[in-house]
Amino acid sequence: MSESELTLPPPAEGHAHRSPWADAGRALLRNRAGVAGLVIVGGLALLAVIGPWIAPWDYRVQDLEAVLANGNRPLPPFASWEHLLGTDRLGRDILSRTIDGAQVSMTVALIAQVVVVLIGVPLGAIAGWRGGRTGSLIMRFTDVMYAFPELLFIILLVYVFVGTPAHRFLNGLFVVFVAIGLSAWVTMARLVRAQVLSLKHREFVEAARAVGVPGWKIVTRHVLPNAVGPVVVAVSLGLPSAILAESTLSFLGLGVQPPRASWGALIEQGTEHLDLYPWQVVPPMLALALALVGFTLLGDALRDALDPRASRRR
Amino acid sequence: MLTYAVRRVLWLGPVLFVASVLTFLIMHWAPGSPWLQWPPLEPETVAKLDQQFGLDRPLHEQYLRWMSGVLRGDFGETTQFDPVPVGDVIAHTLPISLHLGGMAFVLALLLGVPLGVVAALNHGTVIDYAATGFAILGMAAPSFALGVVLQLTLGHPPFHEEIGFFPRTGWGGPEHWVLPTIALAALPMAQIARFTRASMLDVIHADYVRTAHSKGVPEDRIVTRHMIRNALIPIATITGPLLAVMLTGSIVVERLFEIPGMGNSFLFAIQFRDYTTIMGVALVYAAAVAVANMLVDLAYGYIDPRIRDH
Repeated sequence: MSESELTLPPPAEGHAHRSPWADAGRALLRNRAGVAGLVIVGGLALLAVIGPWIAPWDYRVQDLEAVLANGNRPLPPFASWEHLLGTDRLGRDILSRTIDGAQVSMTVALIAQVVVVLIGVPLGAIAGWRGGRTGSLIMRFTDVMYAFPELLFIILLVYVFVGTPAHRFLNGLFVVFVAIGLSAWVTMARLVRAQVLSLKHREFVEAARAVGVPGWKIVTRHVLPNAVGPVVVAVSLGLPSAILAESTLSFLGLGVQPPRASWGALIEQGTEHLDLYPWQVVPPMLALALALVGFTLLGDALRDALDPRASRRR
Repeated sequence: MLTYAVRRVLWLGPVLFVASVLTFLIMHWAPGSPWLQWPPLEPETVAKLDQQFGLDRPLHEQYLRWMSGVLRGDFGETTQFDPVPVGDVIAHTLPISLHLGGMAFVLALLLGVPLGVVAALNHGTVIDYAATGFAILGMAAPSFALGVVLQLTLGHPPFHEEIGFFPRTGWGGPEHWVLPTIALAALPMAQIARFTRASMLDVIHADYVRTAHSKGVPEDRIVTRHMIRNALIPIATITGPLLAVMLTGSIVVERLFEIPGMGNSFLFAIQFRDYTTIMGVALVYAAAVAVANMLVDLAYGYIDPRIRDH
């Protein structure tokens, strides 16, 4: 065995072509809080998908016999195997309704973020790439929207749709994610514009321009793919705020419409008879808190993983 | 600095103008009218009311009338059967909302900043994890959920004044202030704590801190004079958005604790399509948020000259 062979170790397996995404994934898995967030979010997502099959009851079914047998009062938790967490006054199973709430919250959060990306990314990209009058007009508009109190705007928007067919669509959820998306795209537009501005004069963009690639193609093929990291972080941090906004709206009675219920709506229903049956609010509150913690931890970890500068903030 | 300040103040005009136009359009786009009730009113009565309140005119004319009134300090009268000046409604409810929001903001700062500082100074230890964990719990407690828990655990149950510590609802003496203030302060407290911690960790390794160490400056003096002072600068940037969160966040808290603040009057106005109250209250909210953001920008521009030159 010659000396040169010893000084040249073989490339470590699997490390030959480490992409930045693989690096970020590895950094995420090294972060304990991030893994916890990933597990919580993954669990809730799974619950949202398979909820209808594993929930002991349909969220709409009223087990009135059980309520009548209990002296016309809702069943307390852990009193029967049939309704493990008890029922509400209409005999609907609280465990099942809390499980169904996962689907409501996850759907709203995801689709609201889709709306945010669909509005914010193109507007931000145009503002950053074109600059000039178009760019400053877009930015002025986002500045105005940024100054408009968010919850106020969402409540106003939801009221536009109350009583219209759009409001009955998806038990009122359609209106909720449109309203949340329409108010939250501003941050995304600002972020994408800043990214595009910083990438606009880099060599690879100049090179693409020099060989005559049309502008829209440079933006979609070369500029935006390099801005995916910050967009992913913004989306993941936007998810808990969307869940929070949805539960707040539902708590005010403006969100999801009966018989469907989100965690916010379940808490609101529970407050009606808080003194007699306080345990009704516990499962949805725990679920909501768990979701918010999970998404926050995951978002923080993603930001640390995708932004090396911030990594020591962990 | 002066031109920057003037430009920034003048910018309030277009912001509030567009905000009020948007509110106006969304509001009139919504189905329904202030005169909807059961049994329905006679069409002649509705026409008469529309005429009395100027709702029969074209939209742009209605808006201009409202706008010219506002510029003269007149917010119009509530679109109700027993109209009162919207200015009076705001004058009664705004102080309550400001009071609640202000107390919650101070509480959030007083808890959040020390929590973040302590966490950063003990980076990676049990103390850090405990403080960060506490802050994460604050993120997980929406004001309405925390409010319900507080009412249940610390409030008087109905007809049992002897149990519990504070009234569950209402707004009067200081005993009414405690629960809603805590409920409203939790989320901003958590955000301030997390932001302070990150900001402190940024300065902990800064050159000037190392220099201070090598000069032999006492440890507590380094923390107070060199670290916290510099770490607080970025925190100033989030206070603007946080004030907005406090103001609009109090809508839910006011509803839950039955506090006669501006948030509650906004919810009632929107429910009964009280157009003038919606417009007036929304404008005050937008103005409050815009002014808060402006003050933060001005303070930041004063501290960091690079901001002004944009």
